[in-house]
Amino acid sequence: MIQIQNVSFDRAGKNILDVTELTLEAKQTIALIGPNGAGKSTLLSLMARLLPLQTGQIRYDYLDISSTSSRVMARKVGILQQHSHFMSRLTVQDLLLYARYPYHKGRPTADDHKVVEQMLAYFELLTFRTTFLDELSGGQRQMALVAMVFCQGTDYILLDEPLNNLDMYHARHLMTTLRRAIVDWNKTIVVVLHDINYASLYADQIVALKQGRIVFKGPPDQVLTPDSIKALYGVEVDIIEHQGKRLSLHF
Amino acid sequence: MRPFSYWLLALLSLLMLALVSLLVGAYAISLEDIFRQPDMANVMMSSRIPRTLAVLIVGSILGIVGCLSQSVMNNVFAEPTTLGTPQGIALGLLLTSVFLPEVGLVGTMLLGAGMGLLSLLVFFALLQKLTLSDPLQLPLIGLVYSAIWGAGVTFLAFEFDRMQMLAVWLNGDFATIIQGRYELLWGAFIIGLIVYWMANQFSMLGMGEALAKTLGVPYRALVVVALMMIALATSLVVATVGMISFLGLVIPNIVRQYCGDNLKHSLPWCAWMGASSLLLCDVIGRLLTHPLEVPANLVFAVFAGTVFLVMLWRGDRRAF
Ligand SMILES: Nc1ncnc2c1ncn2[C@@H]1O[C@H](COP(=O)(O)OP(=O)(O)OP(=O)(O)O)[C@@H](O)[C@H]1O
Ligand SMILES: [Mg+2]
Repeated sequence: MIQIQNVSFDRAGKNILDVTELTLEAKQTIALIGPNGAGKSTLLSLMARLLPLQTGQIRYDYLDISSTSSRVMARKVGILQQHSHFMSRLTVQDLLLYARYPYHKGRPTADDHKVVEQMLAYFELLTFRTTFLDELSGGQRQMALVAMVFCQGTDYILLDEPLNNLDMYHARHLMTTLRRAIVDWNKTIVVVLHDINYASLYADQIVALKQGRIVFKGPPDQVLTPDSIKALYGVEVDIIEHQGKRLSLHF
Repeated sequence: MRPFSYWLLALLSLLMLALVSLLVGAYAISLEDIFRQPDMANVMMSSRIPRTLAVLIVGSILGIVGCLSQSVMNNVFAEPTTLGTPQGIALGLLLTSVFLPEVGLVGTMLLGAGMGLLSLLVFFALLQKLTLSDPLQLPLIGLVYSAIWGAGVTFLAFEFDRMQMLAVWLNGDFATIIQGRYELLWGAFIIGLIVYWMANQFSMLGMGEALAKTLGVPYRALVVVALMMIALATSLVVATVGMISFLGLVIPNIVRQYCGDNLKHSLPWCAWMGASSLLLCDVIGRLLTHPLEVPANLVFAVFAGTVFLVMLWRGDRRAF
């Protein structure tokens, strides 16, 4: 369970995030949606301690992030950032092995190699294992970065727009993989999505953010209505039902 | 088995080059001479062998240090020369030799390393404040930064009449290396081994602070250790033979093309390529204007400058 209380964040004298109360159940996929600049990445960064908390508290299973050591946090929460730039001439398997750092501290064991093999297979990356990251396509690279977060073996996984650069097949493959991971490994996944329909089809809960505030929260089949989407994005849409799931038509 | 045969080839070629380096000099020595003429064996022991070892150690440690700098600064153009480290070290060496001459060679070298570390820490802190839109901005900032340290040290050298020493520190030359004048470099050799031993940890620095921290990497502590290694090794080189500019820039960037950014894989190759290319440059320097010598730093600069220009020409900001 993730508990967020009274978290407010100012940047350059402007308030960009203000969440008084948000509780997210464990072992679910939670989709975070909202227009550009709503504060989604800011919230995720605060949750992963990439940004320091200015006020309030964030807890994972009663583990308070402001009083927990990085070593413990590194085994609890993993994050895929929206933009990451690092020395990227690493092979995919080296990258995944790096994500095992919280366990091997720089001296990988047979166990770590086993997890890497498992994830390479799980994310269909076996053919790219020795390819350098900067020689992959945008989508392949994105897949490798997501696999990296899973390699970290944390209960909680935060993904900021993982569908960036992914084609139809890979976007669906990733979303189904996320769902499988929840069943297989009891993960809790918070994922920022821009496509309402992916949120509707694959998420257990939707949290909508606008101008730093939570506008609505709930299961997709309750909260996705033409009115709520109009309120969130200012766009008129039709909502249709298809195999018991709500889909929005917004073209 | 393939990597193994690559290494065999690499070591063989280095051995051949070392042999050539032993036989070439102000007067040529043939293999027979060493065994027949005692004074030739003497020249071997007191001058040729120390010189060849010095080149090998300096070439490999500068390759390693350059590669490490690039991971720490998260920038492919980082290396001691583009970070102003030799100037910082020279200032430390100069101040020590003027005000604390009694500390001896090791003490002088350590104080030089201290000043080098200070200049690295300031540069690192400066880099955290800036958002570079292009990696190439780093050497430009470094140019300005080293000019500041350079101006300080030049002024002092002028005041205390040490211009000669300054020139020696900043222009690597192996002509003066004889037995008893290079042994400090074994310290650099040991630093190279330590860096390799910690390669997996140092590789994490290339992930950048944010990502490294989410993985529980003690980022700040590792940065300081890495900068200490860089400062110490560079100081040892500057104090004994003088700086070889841009070796740490060019060699790791060629190696990266094949081995990538995983230091465990790339460091040994950086060491090998640094050693063999510097040895080649040193031999060429001895043959070019025989019996006079061109300093290895100059010969290497021609090579490095050309490679650097090609890098820029290709316009590939990942370098190569
Ligand atoms: N470094 C920064 N300095 C100042 N303001 C910032 C900075 N980063 C983000 N902001 C502002 O904070 C607000 C929230 O940004 P954030 O990146 O969290 O939005 P987002 O919901 O992730 O948007 P997107 O969907 O475009 O990724 C925006 O208004 C943005 O302009
Ligand atoms: Mg964002």
